[in-house]
Order: sequence, then structure tokens, then C-alpha cells
Amino acid sequence: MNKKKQKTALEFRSLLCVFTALKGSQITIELRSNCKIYGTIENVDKYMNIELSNVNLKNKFFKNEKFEILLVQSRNIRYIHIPDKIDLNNLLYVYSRTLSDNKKKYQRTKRKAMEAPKMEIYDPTKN
Amino acid sequence: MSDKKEEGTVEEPLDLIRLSLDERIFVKMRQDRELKGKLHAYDQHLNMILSDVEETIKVVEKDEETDEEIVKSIKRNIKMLFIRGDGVILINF
Repeated sequence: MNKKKQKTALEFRSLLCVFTALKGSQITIELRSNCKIYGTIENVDKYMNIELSNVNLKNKFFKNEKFEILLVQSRNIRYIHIPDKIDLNNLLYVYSRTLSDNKKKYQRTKRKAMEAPKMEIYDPTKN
Repeated sequence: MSDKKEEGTVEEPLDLIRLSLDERIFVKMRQDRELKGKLHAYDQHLNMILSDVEETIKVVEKDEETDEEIVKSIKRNIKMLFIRGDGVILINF
């Protein structure tokens, strides 16, 4: 239980929770190679690798490319532009609420140890 | 643990950054990029969220006729920006 608490605390101490809160919104990612990527966040993992959908990639020669799904490796990210219409405070508040709600929802109660199934042993000497 | 810590005490370098939350800071980044903006959040990797950012990029261009190197600085403004920590060199507050 203590370990679990620590884990969620860590999740909040790192800025990764911002991305989990930003899931489903459109953002712009700037890469180290001066590429710009516009897309919708589908998923983010703990290393900040980001999965995007409906992607528009502008490379350093200003050529456009389109992709349905794209995974950005975290090392290549330089900046992420957060659209100003997104209210981060509210988003994080909602996210923390859903986290705590989920925690309550999936809380496990102590279970009794399962009884060993009864087996009838065939005894040919009987009868 | 960290909740018991009084606000304003400095025990490690990162605590200095905590003191400048909600203030304008200067961040020097790799590849001659400099940022100025209001700090909203940071973490142990120095990932940061800045708002009202002014980014200055220095580009060296060579004049082909005179072979002189001209340093150009390009400026742009960004409303809200997340910065990945591995590009940060120093922070000035």
C-alpha cells in the first residue's frame, strides 16, 4: 500500500501527468531536428514517448507529410506547444479527480483463501 | 516527507527553482537557444512549463562575398510551452 502511494506521488511530481491530462487534444511538437509535428495525442508512456494520430509533419525543408499514426521517441522532443485554449489547471484537477476516483473504484478487498476443491477418490475396495 | 518541509527552505539546488515559480526566468538551451518566460511548473528532469515565452535563436551565417560570419538572432513568441529537460543548460532567475 505504501509503495502504491509512493508511485502515485511520483506520477504527480513529474510533469508527465500534464501529457496524460492532454490526451485527445491537438498539440504541436518541435523536434531536435527542427521538424514540427501537428497531431492529436493518443497515448503517452512513462518515458514520454508520444503516440499521435492525424499527423501533419513539417520537416526542416518545410515539406509537408501526412501520417495516420505516428510514434515520437521521447529523446527527439525539444518543445511542446500547448494550445492556449486549454486550461491546464482545470485539466490537471479533473485528471487528479479521475485518478482518485479510479483508485476507489478498483480498490481490492481482502479475499479469503480459496478452499481446495473436494475430490472424490475412487476406491475400488468399496462396495 | 516533502510535505513536512517548510516552504522557503533550500536544501538542494532544485529548491532554488521552486522559489522562482510564477516568476520570469531565463533558460539557456542547447544549440544557442535562449528562452525567457514565466515558470509554471518543473520536475526533477528540469522539464518545465513556461508561459509568455520569448525564444531567441542565434544563427551564424556566412557572407559568401566577404567571408564574414554574421550572427543573426531570430525571435519568436509562444504563449504556452513545455520544455524537455535534456536540452536545458542553465537557468537564471
